[in-house]
Amino acid sequence: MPSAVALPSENPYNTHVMILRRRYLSRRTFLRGTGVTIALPWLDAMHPGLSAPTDGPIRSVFIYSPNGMKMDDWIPKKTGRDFELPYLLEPLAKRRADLTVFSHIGIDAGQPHGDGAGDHARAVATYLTCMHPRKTGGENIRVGVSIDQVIAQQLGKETTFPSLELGMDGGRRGGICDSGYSCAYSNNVAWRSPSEPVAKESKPRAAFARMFGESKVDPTATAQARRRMKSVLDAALADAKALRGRLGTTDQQKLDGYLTSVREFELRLDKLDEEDAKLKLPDKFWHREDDPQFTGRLQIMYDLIVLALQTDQTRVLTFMLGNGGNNRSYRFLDVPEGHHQLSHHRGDPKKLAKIRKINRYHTEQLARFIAMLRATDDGNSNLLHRSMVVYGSGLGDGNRHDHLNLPIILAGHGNGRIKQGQHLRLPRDTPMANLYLRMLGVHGIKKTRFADSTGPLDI
Amino acid sequence: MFRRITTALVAGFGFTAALPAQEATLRTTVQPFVKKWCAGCHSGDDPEADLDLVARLAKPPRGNDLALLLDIRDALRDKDMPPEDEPQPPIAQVKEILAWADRMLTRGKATVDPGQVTMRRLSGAEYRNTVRDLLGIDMAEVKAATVDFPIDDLGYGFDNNGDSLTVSPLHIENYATAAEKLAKRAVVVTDPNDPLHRSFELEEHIGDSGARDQDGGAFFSTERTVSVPISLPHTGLYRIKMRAYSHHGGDETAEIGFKVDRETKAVFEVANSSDVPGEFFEILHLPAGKSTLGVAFRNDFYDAKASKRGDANADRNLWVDYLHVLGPLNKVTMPASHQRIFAKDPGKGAPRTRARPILRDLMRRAWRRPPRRAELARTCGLVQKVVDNGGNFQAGIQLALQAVMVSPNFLFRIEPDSTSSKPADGPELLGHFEMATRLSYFLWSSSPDDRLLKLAAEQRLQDLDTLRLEVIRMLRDPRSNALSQNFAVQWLELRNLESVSPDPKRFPTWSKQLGDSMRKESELFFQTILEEGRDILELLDADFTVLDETLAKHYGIPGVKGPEFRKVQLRNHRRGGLPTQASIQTVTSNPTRTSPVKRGKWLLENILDDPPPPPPPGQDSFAEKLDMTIAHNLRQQMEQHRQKTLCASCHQRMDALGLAMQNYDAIGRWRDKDHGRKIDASGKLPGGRRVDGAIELKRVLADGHDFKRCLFKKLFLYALGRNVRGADQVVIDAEVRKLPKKATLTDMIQAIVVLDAFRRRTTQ
Repeated sequence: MPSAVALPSENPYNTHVMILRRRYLSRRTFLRGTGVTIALPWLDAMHPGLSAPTDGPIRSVFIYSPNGMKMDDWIPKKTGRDFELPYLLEPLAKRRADLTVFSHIGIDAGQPHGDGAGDHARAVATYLTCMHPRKTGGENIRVGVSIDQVIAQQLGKETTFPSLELGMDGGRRGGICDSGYSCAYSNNVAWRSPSEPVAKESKPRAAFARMFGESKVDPTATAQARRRMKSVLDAALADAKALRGRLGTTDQQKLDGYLTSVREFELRLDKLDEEDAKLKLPDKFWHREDDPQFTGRLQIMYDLIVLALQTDQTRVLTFMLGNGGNNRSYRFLDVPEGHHQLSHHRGDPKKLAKIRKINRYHTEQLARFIAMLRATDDGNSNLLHRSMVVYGSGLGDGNRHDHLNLPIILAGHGNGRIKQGQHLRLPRDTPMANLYLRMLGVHGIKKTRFADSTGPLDI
Repeated sequence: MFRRITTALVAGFGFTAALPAQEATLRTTVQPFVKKWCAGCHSGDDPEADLDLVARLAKPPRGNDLALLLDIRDALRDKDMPPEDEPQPPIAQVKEILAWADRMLTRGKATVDPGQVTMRRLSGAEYRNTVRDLLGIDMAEVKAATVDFPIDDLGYGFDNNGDSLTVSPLHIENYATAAEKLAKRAVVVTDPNDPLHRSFELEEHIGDSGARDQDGGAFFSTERTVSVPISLPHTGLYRIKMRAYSHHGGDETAEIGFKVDRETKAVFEVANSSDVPGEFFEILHLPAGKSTLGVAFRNDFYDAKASKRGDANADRNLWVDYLHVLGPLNKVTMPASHQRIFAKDPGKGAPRTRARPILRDLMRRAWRRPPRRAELARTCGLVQKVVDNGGNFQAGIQLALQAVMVSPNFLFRIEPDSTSSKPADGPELLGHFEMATRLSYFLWSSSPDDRLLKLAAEQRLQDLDTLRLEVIRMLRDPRSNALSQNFAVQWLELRNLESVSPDPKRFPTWSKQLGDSMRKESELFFQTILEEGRDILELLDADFTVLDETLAKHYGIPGVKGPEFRKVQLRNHRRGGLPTQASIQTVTSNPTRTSPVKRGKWLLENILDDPPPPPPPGQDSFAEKLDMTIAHNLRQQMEQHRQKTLCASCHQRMDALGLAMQNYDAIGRWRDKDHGRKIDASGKLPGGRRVDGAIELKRVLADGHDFKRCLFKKLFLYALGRNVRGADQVVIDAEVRKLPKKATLTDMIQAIVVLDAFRRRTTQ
């Protein structure tokens, strides 16, 4: 059970997290007792959309880590199943059999192709789209539909949220984000159409509230409020339809984005109706301001991801540890310089040591997350077995802005469909899209191509 | 040096072919000149600055390519090109080229089309201001209802860019929830003069307070507080009642402290013993909305020794049974928002009919135009539906308001294609209501007020004099603070102050509060220049600034006490003018040190209208690569890099500008030395001009057309929410030349609102 997961002791919010799990997730009877129910799919035989407990839903999580990685401490020397774990991957030692490290995997679309600088923006924009973004500071933004959204469009109907987008940074607040690229590129990995990024939630409290509701109102009042909300949305849809004919084509497209979003929200309200009531928030979690400490906030975000998957709020999730070119300073690691600033290390060993610290810290946090997935029951299996977690960056060596040798690992078994536990050295310049194409296959989505894919990876 | 050339996106309209005479000059004069003096670098497979002049001037430039002529003209006139160490063309020939460029520009200007603006969603800031003005709700409450809005992505540095203001489900959810909260706050549904009675059993609210559930109440053996959340529809007087007893101990009587949002509002002495609990009540003023009531034991007493002896007076405890709240007891006046919405309430008639005048007014203000008949009918239908389902009329209006605020007509600034045929005098003029909206969001970041809507209804907002007068009126209105808060702050990239993180070891005086003061200085400085009608150039060099105590201390300026900002006369030129403000020094620094390259780049982009082209692939953020911890090394390193021809043309300028500000440290404090060495703040600009230190730098910056053009462009970008195209630059350049010598911000804003780009649109 999740409550058994050992949480690192430096987490200042340990207690809250524990309370959250013990009281509200693992003990269903308790939930019933307080008149609160949430759908726990694999304990609940009545859960809609369930076919057979042995063939549960597969989840995909995509995590983006900015500014590349210190590659010589990342890529194992040995290939195959007998690979060693270099310094940066050491924290994952316990889950070695549940993951694959790739080398020579890359995203050609991230290269300049005549567009000059702006590698950080391109690294983010191409990470899940594998398409070359149009260079613009704002006008006619265009890249491609991202892999998470392709999955969401197929599987999203099953869950409350077709997909969830989370991140540690809100957005850069001034200037152009990266050498002539609009901030839309460097702030978003998820794109539901070539011109529409999917905004992400960066506050843990708001993310929680979005998933589980925020009030302690009684169910009848909630249902009533929901009915009112639906009539409001219906009116808005009618307004939008009436308006459409009077607009030019670009504006029509924008209005269509609005229409889709409203409909999606309506559908979500319908799904809420099918459930009994809302989750009651633990007061402590609720009353706390969003955590100023980075680690606390980061861990709560990871906890929320586990929670979202466990309660089947969504099956597709993206999480950005930072926006492209993020310049956060990691003082608690004794790294006062900015991360982006450091990533241009020019081989300076002092700087490389600091980058190593940052990279290692993030793999430690990832290891904690993966351990939680492993420890979370999911029917007769566990969440890690049922999920695919992609972790990595759109840049290799941050100093060289390498887009062709990316640090990428895939953890989780996709419900037993993925061969795990190896360092897979691929032929040079293998497109990342091949991994994504394989993931589509695991999800049962029949597609023969994704972006510049040449065929699914054999894993 | 050549400005980055904006690629052609939309070509000018109506420009057929250049006149034969122009073609002839191009062939006989311009092309030979280019071949002799420019083509050495600017032609072939890999031209300098990506600019192949031979190819670009094969035909007379038109549309967005006209901007090329500006670059050529400026480079020749300022002697930036050819570079000083290359052979120089004879002056007579240069003059000929300049004259040709001027003729082409004048002709070209007349052909520039107004351009297209993608339908803009309200930005977060615009949404908040709009709601504040529409409903008359306090900004603090509006912010509370919108705190989770996703941060808007920037386009060209501003958050009001049409193409960057995307919509995703997260936005819609936030809009829907905010509308629900705000409508509840704005419209009162329950009759306030029909008091409500609420009762709470305290034992159900013990939680982890530390009190104990006992005898059907809360038992306090130590000083604890049991909190009860409550949500009240009205502000007013309420009667609170509790039942309690105490165990006597020590010299005092046990006391209940009754708190509202943690503040003790009443104290009750509980002398009653457990066999005769007493009732305690008080009449208190309670606020509308959510608050937390607290029942606390205030004066615990425990004497362990006495207790061991079995002394009955050894332990003071308290027991409280329930909390009843009844009210409001007084006659309550409706909040201003409610009164405004119901001002047109006829008070009778079927809900659908009664709602019409109310909603017509509300929708007109919310949607910034009169509602169409079908739209009004649909919204009135919502009111009817609520009443049919057993709600009251007010609840119906509340729901209608909610719907009005989720409608695309509210969330987007819509400029529909007109149904009428094109007017004869050029591209379509915007409708008068759309003009009102463009004006109000430009100057106020909010919706048009009644006067603008009235002028729109009277069809007067395409009259140029009316527009100019409205600008003056609107700039006098306090809402025009939005220009400094949204325009100036974004132009100067100051929102980044929220995310900078100077190293506390090196900069122990840095705090969030200091960062806020820095931003405020720049904001209020801009506002003062605007309000006092000062010369625009004073933005760069002024003899005053605006400070609070925190920042004055930071600057080492004595005699400024207290948290309020005030105008301070300056004694020297180390401060005064944007480039010397700590806000700007800080956002252009790294956490551990200054970055002359970032500062130079910032000046080129935001002050001099000369953004450096992006560095070659793989070389971005040159600044980062020069991360040397020791300053004299930094200078040497930079000099080395400048010697590489690849970097020289841009870095010569960027570095000279940035190094001139080396006397300001990474949080903008003045310093004479860095790491024990005297600061060398000298540098040489292209064209040979030397600058040494910020004081000289300010003079260099303030002497020209470049800054005015830069500011004009940024205002244009902000006003229109779209990119400045090459063709627009030609118009802007000409407009800036037309400004009076001592131009004010008002002059500039007036010039913008009468532009074709502001008043017309190219239909799609």
